[in-house]
Amino acid sequence: MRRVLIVVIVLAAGCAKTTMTSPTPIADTAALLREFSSSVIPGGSASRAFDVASTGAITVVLKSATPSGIPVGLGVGIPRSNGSCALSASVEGGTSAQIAIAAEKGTYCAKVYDLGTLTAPLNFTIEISHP
Amino acid sequence: MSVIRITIVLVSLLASCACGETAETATSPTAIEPATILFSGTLQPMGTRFYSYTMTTAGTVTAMLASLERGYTPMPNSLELGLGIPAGTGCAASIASNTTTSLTSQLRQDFAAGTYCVRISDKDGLPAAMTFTIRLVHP
Repeated sequence: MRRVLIVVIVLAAGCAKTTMTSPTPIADTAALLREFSSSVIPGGSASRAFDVASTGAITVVLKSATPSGIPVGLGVGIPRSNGSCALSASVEGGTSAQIAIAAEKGTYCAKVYDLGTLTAPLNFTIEISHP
Repeated sequence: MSVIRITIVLVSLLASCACGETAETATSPTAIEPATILFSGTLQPMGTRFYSYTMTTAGTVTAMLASLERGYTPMPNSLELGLGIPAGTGCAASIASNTTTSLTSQLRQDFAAGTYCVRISDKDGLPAAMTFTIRLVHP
């Protein structure tokens, strides 16, 4: 009879229910920061698309421009289906020009464009910060 | 009853009940990726443009007037953005809002499966033709 009890206990122990827990997701709230360098020819523009993962603020800063001292347009918008950048907001200025705008999850773009003041190509670097 | 018989009975019972759990086949919910439509065009002063689309499942539709430009310059003009049903050669909006451009959706509405439209209208009189871009997201 003792053997029977041992068999029953062993079998019952094998049926012990295991509770599995899912790992708790940790939200990444830090803004992503990236730089984009390119050049703009007279009458032209250059843009860069990026993905925003959640609602938050997009900030774009003109970090450098060569030659310096020439005002350019700096804007944020949404990429059209043809790849060009349709602007929602923009500012005009030189180095340190900055624009900030609220946006929800999606794909957006930043653009630097000639205001009609360029007589030669302008090399620039912008810094894009977004959620 | 002999020890052997008792053992056989208990083992059979335990094996047949399978620990009291019912075997279930877990199925993952089917994720429906929302569709994103970019509707761009030129809007004439006092003009109207619309775009029709079809939803195969019910859900929430969001519409964003993301851009209104004259040349490279974003314009602050207010336009009427609407969602509705194609009617004849137009779009009968069931919900509409006067809005300027934004990168957050200005309209959000639940719809059943079917064919719908998004409409943009100039009610105030733009000073010139302008290019617009609307982002529409639907199930």
